[in-house]
Amino acid sequence: MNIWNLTKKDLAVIVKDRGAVLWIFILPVVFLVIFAGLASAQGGGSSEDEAEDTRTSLRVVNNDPNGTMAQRFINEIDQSENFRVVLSDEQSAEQSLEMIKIIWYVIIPPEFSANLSEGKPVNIVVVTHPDANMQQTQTLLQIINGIAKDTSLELQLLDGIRQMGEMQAGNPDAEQAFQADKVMAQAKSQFDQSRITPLVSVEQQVPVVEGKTKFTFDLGASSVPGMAVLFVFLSAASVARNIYEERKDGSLRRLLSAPLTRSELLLGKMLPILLLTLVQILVIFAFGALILPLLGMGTLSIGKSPLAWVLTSLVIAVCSTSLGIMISSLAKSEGQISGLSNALLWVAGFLGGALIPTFLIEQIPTLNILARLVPQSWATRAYYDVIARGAGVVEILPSLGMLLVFSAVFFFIGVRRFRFE
Amino acid sequence: MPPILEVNNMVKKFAERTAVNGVSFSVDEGEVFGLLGPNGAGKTTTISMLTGVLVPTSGTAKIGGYDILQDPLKVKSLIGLVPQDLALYPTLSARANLNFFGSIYGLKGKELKERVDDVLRIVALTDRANQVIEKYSGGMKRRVNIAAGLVHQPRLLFLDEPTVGVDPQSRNQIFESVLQLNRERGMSIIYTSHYMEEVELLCNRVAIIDEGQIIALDTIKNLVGMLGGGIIQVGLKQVDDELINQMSKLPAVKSAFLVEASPDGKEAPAGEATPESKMVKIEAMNSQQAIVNVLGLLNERDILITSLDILEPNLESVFLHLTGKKLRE
Repeated sequence: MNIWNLTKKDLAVIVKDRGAVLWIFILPVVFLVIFAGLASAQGGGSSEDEAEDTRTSLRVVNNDPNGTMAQRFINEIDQSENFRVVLSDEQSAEQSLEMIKIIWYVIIPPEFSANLSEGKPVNIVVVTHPDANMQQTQTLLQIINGIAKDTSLELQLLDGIRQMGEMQAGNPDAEQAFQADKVMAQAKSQFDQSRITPLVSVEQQVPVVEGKTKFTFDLGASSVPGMAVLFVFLSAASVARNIYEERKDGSLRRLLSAPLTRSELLLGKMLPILLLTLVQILVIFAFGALILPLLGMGTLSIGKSPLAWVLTSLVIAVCSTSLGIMISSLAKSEGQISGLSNALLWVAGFLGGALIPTFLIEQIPTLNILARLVPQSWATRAYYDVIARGAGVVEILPSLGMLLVFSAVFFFIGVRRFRFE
Repeated sequence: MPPILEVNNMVKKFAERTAVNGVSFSVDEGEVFGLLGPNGAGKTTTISMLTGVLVPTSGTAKIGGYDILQDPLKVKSLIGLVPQDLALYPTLSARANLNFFGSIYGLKGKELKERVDDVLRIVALTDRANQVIEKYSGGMKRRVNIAAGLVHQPRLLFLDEPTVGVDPQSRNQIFESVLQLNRERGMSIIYTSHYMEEVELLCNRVAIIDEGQIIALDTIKNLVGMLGGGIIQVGLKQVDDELINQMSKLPAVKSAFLVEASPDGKEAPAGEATPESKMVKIEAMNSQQAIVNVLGLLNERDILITSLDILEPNLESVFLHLTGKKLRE
């Protein structure tokens, strides 16, 4: 009961603290809009000024520039609801993929049209970044495959009719050649063949990219987990300041003279922080899910496993709370909390991939090592695994385990060094 | 009736520093007990140990018959603490603060509301109860600070320097509240201060504490009585044993002695002793008569006077007499 009384009081105090509310709720949303805007502007790849066209741009390397079939294939893609074709050369597309400016591109091979005309099979290559969003990649592959199948079927049917024409021409006496049942049988044969050995096949290639992670470079909504992680951990400094001020004011001393155990008092300080960070996560994700789509900055999903998302959020909140307790225990002045801790948390947030993708950081060995030493990187990883890769609870256990290890260390140091006076 | 508080040889050490060094005293039920001493004397540390904020290095105490170390929660339910700091939540209203402090003592519902209304009346803040306290004056904040220590109706209330930084009007209000709580409700109170006027006004008995030790404990009347008719301190250019002896035998003089001065003169009471000046302390049976006799003797022996102080018989003088220091040094 006392823990709940302490919790209610702390929540009331924090809610009335404009600075804390700014840090905990307002700034994350502002940052989210900025970063989501930047990310969605970059998301599909090129930045051609087609303001009215909200489709995702798709680089296509046309190695058969004069081929009519190639052009027709490209037109088919461009007429799809999802993608807008941007022509590119192969080297440029490859570099853009490596630099994560784009996450996939399509290659139409040389002699595409000529080979098809001769009935020779051709291979469309879809190159995808190893960290590309699985769902979006599947959408792309389905569309390309659909166009390829349609093209195959059409060409093979035509080819069948052509073959029958040739048979008729070669044997004019064969009166039965164009009988309906024979045409049907020939069409069915070609249809089956187009399914078994389509003329146009689609191959997905995933190049090996150094520093590959499970990160996805998605539309604007992909900024949401990063911002959530950054600001949930930044809240640790607000929490530490709140505890520091209470200690400085003597309120903790007064509470120590009340019939409360020290454990109750400590739990009564931690529970409101935990609840607040959970609310903060909810606010950030709710904003991402409800408002960002309205601003045209992508659509946010919480992945295939809501339980995994809930667990990740809970563990991150526990870790941030423990960090706040530790900072309040170690800091000897308000300056240390507001200045030093904040600066360190921003750096840790940066290293942890809250502001830029972790796989970019991991390409630099020193930063890669440092990133693994901050809980933010494990938190970001867990969120992205759940949200972008559709990971379930089991798959994120390593990241959650690391976060719990961090939490335990922070908690142990925080409780051991906690000063009530 | 057994005492509400019994303190037995309590010691508190911080690293190399001994803040409280073997303090023992008792407080009777319904008594207002003063702890008088300068800043840093050990008053707050003593209170912190008694209220469970600090653990004593050695020794213990009983409050309401419960040992503070063995039954801390029972003890804490009997006491209230009004700390020296404004231990409140400034962004909340006075009522919200009091509701919170009452709730952690298990008060709720109608009982909590009645108690909060009651203490708001005691500190005369009923009409401002719903205002955020960061907008209060310093004195009003102090009054809420006191109310927060009263809301659960403790049997023993610790008031730790409750008037620091308070305007005269609020100070009087606080005095009235303390006296009302004691006289009308029988609340036992331990009042620490370095203002002797407050202690003289409010307390039945006083323990004078300095450098972590109680150097005197008695009623104010008896403590002041230690000085007899007052203390006279005379700074002289030259002093010898014969002069001291002659002074001791003067009418209206109880005793006279030479005060040793440290190189910085701090040991010298009141007047500034220097290598060129010696300080003589005279305990008088009647200060007016004694001063006339002393001046007559010095004039007769043609000894130059460098300073002269007459200490009226009060707690300030008692402290000066006992420690050689002023209360507010």
